[in-house]
Amino acid sequence: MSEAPSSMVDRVVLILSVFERSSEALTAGQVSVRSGIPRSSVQRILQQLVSARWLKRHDDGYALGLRMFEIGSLVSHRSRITAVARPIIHELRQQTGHVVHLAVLDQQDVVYLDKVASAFADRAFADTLPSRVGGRFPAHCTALGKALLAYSPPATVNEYLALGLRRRTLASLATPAALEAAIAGIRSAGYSTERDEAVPGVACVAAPIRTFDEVVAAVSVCGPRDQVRAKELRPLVLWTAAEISRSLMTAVSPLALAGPVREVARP
Amino acid sequence: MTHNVLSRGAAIMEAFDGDQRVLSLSDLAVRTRLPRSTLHRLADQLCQVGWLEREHRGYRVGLRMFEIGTLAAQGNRLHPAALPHLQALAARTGLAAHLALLDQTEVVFLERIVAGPLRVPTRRGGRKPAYCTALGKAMAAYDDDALLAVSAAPMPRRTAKTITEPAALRVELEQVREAGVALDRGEADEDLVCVAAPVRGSGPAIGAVSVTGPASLMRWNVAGEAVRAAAAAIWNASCTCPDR
Repeated sequence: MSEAPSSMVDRVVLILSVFERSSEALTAGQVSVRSGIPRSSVQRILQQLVSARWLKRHDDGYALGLRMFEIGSLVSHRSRITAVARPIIHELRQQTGHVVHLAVLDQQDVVYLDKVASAFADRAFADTLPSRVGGRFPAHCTALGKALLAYSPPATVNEYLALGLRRRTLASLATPAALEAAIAGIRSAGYSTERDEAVPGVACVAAPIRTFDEVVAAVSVCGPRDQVRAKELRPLVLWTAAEISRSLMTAVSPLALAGPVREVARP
Repeated sequence: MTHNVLSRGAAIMEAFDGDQRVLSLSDLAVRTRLPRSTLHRLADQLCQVGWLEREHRGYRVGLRMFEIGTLAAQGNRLHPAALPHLQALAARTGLAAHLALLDQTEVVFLERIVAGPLRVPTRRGGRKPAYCTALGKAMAAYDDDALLAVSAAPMPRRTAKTITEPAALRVELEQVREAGVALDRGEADEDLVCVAAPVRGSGPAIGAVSVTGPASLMRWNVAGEAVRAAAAAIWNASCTCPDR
């Protein structure tokens, strides 16, 4: 068991992350074992989180509560980019018939802001993907992440490389040289692709969404490898990204944009 | 001592709402009644863990909260079961489709899907009082405890059509049970009408679905049928979905 953090904030963060990784309700004992925090302390924190309604008590233990969802829904940049992008990415989904993702870069990962699939036909395929609204995936293994890294400041990329590249599949980029070469290619092409690098049998085409020379998010289409034709999808994905960029820039003044949106892409 | 830190941290996060998404240190001091020095230190800690983000005018809720919060909604078996049906409902009716839960005397919007360019003043994660919404009435009609709580709470007038008396609300809910759908003919917002159906089997509702839009776009019969069918399909899907 690792050393439990001493700060209260860190303890609460750790406990909530235990809930994040569980698909079921958890008892105080389970939370204590998984977090490494002594049981008496866990018990007190759980009680407080229940009274704040951040956790809910069920018959078989505790689970994330409704207030958590409500506070999370306030994340303002999320709601702005998603609101602006939503009708545009729905159009892309209709044109291509593929699953469309919208994501931002946060440290080592892409965080998915939105995921749209055809009402019923693609749902089975969409459900096999590891992406989930609010979920994370290592950036260098995805077309989205590579597009975001390619247009991020060099310092961001260097920090990313310094932390090491872990593979998700045999096709994942695994060396700094491979990622740097990919970035150079993306910068000259304006878009990124990925085959089997995140999930075997799946391919993606992505493009960066930029406002005033700053990358704020990326959009991708994603489908079974033998159905994704990058050449045909490229203009649609690029047009979608440009359209979202344009809408974001006309929706607010550059001054207002300098606040919230910049930090989204800055790890 | 440590408990104070937790409740103070929670108080800071709870200070944010849909109206003001960026709060300065002074705003936070007013809303939480915490001393500035404490606030400054705690906000720093919350920024480090990604619950808050700093910007030039103050603080806003951070991306980590979005991630955890999304999981909290998905943990509710209702949400994944409802999503495809809400999309179909929005596409079929051309109105805004909502999924909501009843939380004491308020409805909480779990999802909101708008197919076209329609603008409605609702927000995913937002709240509205139950007594003046079709969603709230659809759920309270099948839950006596909820009805008691809703009738005991204030029912301020919002439009000429708002139901403001508990007795009138009880009569209204009787009609909801007969029809199987609840209507809002502009009771919360003059220009907005809504029809909702409870998601339920034989017990209290576990949620409700609705379509909302301007009166000019609402075809009550078509929308009522579509909402009722969607609610039934969501109930069936939520029963067969794994619990989380």
